Amino acid sequence: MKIVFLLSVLIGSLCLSTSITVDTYLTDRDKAQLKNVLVAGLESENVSNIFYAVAGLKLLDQSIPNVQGICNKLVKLVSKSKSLDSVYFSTSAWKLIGVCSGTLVVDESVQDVYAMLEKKDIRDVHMSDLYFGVSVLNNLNLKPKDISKLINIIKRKMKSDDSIADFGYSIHLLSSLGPDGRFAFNRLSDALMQVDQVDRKYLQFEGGLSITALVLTGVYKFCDAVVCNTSFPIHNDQALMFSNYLLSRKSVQTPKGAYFLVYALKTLTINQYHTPICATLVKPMGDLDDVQRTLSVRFTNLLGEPLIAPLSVGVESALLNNKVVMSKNRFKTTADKTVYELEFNEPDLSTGIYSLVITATPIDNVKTPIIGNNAIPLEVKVSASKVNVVDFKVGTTDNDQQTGATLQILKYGEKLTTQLKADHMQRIIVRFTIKDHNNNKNVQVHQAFVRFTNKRSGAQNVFVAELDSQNNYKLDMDLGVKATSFKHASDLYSMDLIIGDFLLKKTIVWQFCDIKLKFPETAFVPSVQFFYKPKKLISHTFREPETRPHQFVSLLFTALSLLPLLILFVLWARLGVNIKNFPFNLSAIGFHLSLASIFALFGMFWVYLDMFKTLKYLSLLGLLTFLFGNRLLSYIARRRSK
Amino acid sequence: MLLKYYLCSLLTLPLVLLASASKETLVLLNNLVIKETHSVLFNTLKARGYHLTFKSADDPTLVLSKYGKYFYQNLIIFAPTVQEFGGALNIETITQFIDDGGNVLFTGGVSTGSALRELAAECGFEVTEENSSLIDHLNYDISDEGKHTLVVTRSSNLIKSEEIVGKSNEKSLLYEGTTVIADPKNPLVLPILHAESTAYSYKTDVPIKDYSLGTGKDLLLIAALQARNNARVVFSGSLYFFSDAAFSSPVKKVDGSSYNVSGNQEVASNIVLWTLKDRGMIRVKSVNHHKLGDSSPPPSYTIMDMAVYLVELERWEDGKWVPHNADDVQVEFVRIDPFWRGNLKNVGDGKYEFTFKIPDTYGVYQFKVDYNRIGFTTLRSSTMVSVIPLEHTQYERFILSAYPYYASAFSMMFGVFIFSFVFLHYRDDKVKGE
Repeated sequence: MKIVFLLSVLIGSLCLSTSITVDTYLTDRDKAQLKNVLVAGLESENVSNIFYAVAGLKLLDQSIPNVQGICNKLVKLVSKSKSLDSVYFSTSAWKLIGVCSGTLVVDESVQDVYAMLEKKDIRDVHMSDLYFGVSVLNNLNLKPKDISKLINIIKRKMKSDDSIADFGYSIHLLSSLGPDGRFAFNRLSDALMQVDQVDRKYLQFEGGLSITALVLTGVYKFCDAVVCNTSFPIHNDQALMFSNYLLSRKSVQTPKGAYFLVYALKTLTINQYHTPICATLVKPMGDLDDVQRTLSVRFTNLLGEPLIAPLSVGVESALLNNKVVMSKNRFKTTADKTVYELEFNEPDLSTGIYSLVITATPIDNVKTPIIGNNAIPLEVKVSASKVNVVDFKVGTTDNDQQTGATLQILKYGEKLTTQLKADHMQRIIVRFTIKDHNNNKNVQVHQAFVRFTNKRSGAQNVFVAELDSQNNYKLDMDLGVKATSFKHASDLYSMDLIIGDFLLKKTIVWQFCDIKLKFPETAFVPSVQFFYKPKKLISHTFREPETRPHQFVSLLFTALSLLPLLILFVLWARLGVNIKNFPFNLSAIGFHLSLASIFALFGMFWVYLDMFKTLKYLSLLGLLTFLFGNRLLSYIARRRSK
Repeated sequence: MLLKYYLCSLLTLPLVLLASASKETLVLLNNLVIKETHSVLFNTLKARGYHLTFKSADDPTLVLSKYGKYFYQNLIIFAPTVQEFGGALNIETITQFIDDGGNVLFTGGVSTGSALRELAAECGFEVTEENSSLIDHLNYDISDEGKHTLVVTRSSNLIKSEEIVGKSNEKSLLYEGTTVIADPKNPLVLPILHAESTAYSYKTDVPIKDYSLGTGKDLLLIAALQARNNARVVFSGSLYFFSDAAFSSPVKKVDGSSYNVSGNQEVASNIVLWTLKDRGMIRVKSVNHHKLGDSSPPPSYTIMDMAVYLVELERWEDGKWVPHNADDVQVEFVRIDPFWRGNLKNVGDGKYEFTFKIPDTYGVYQFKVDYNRIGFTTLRSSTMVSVIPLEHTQYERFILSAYPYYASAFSMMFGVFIFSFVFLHYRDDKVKGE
């Protein structure tokens, strides 16, 4: 990683030294957003957020609302937590506000700091604690008792395998101690080796915005303190890449990030080594056309402020489709100090995207050199303000091509008075040409679509008009083939022509006719439609009961089936039956009773008993019947044989 | 017995229960800058209790599972240009992850890496050609860079599902990136956001030739797949859509309509939460059924009984289960084919009931709830019951048309009784007299 980075920096500095530029800056809107983030941070109950918010707002030159409320909150918070960092944040915020009445009670923490600096064993002292501790002393206008001892501690603590955050704290700490920290100078380039490069455009340290900003500002502060002069370790390209990284993080949403972003950008902007500048087009891609022929470019520093020295801005090269179109043209200054203008004064200004490379040099000698001012690439768009749709024809023809197409001619903006009709055996044909209003040449556009809108359901289908070799557009659509994309929905449709291109000022949407489309009916059922819908209800149809005969018939046959019994009785009556032989003994009575019970059991079985119970009873009754029957019959047989 | 019936339907629940506790999320990034440029979204997730692990997409230590156990339940890939994943991660492991119920959110961009294209294809989305971006010459934002690719989409182009995109809100959305096409016949793919009818997708600096891709509303900007195992996969053609910049950016369409801030934040957070199964999750809380008038399930039903089926549904909302009320839940009474399919009546508090007459055919039946609605997890519950024929004593007695049979049977029995009496004890006096 480091080697790759080194190589890329080397290559970058050798051949591509002019290619890195900054193309955005902190706009007023960005500042307003950052301010909102910071003001919201003031409401926080976290002392670090309050400090970041206060410091960030100070850097943005914004007033702090409800100062006394914040002071009170600081007093309250510092009494709650005595940890070194919260004391650091609260004393720093206190000092930054400057007008707080009352006192922060931090004597105890000051003693702790002194004790920490006197410690013999410094293994468990963190670099961040040292930084916070010494800063607390500074905030209270106190000094460490023995500066050389402190520097010794830092010397012993700084190791080459320190985390990059610790390194950031140590150089911040050293820079507060003046030129004595010079011993750490060699460590700067080591630390800068650890930087990550992204997309050959950004440089950042692992850990993101706050760490990057901490180290970056540390390096500048350190070099101010120990007077690095010409041996400033951050190269111009690196400074530009850091700027790009910081500006890519404009949308940061935490007070901490916002503070570090503004702090680092401010350090990059205001220092004695270099001033990165930023060239932006006032309108996106210049936005030129045949009326607006002046290209405005804004030159600012990273914070969007005007540069101190006026610039001399010139075009190095300008290409349209890889052909040189102008060179050595110079920009003019305007009333706005940040804006420079270039006349695109070609007589025949072709539309297209121009690739410009411009260079800005300061007219006067400036103390700090401007960087990012060479070979600034710009993409400028020259669009056509008006195009005409001409030779517009629309019609239908049969699929077999036997009959020629009957095309109707229409002028742009009009609508066909008659309704067209087409079915799946036909084709729809639309032909037209697009001409530039100024030079009457045929123009190719990116988007030339014909849109069908179902007037009833609002469903839309879009078809692309193809370009032929003469730059004429044609849509030739076989309705039978396209039926599925219309979902076979026969209906009245309206047809629009859509002409669009980013080199076109105004997109054309023109409704030119209505058409009645007819498709064959199909059993086309899209299953998707029903997948997420309730299903059709099903209710069970029960078997119909069989039809029953009339009541009279039933009763008649009931009577008929009872008839044999009746006949039996009648015949018996005539015969004169008797039961005179009935022996009044147990077996006879028992037999007939149990036989009757069996029949009664059958009746009960019919009405409510189940089979198992019935069989149980039956077996009992059957046994009785058998025994009684046996005795009765043998009695009768004996009587007869007498 | 009751327990057994519950168990049957509870079988569908473990997956859902597991998902509600799943907060481990792996976030793969092209570079760590993305972590900061999308911090609002990530902070929203952290605030909801998600544990995010950020890794570079080509990190050689990437691993999703070990010994068959997954470290993460969700995967977010914000690395549009990745050509190949690092470590043990590849298309097969990610598709296996989805098959095992993991949720995936991934975004493409104007140049979408081959790894993501393949993954999209596995999920039924076709990412449009390399370097093509969504272009709309009618609906672009005023802050567009000049190529008309920073497109403003009306919120009416969002899928009509409150669960996925939140309450309907008229704020327009900002979008910049590529598009996908999905097979409209695939019912599992949901078009979350589609393009305006004037939009198309092509390379900005090349004239259009042989345009065969979809146009207008066929182009999907954000597409979702809810697999049959309820795993959710969402593909967005734009990483910008989820960025802090898009969340805080004002919208001003060229033709005039403008909003102070885009609707992106709300919609994007909802879509992400939906993907991670924090929204649109429903489950069966309890199932009960009994004969009309009873209160506990019988061992079996007899044909033609009146039966009552009761089910209670719950929805996962803001970190807890709340009763889910709907008016389109259906229950089926199935023996191979459904015999009954009826609308469950919502009786409030997420409780539903359906009263019906058991069919006149006996066999083994199931009460089935198969609830499949856009934005919700698929709900499946089945409870098995047996239906027996009428017992001997349950048939109809005293049928008028059968009176001849009754009469003949009873007259026969009576005849046998009386005849046997007479036959055994008759005294023939005449013979005696002779």
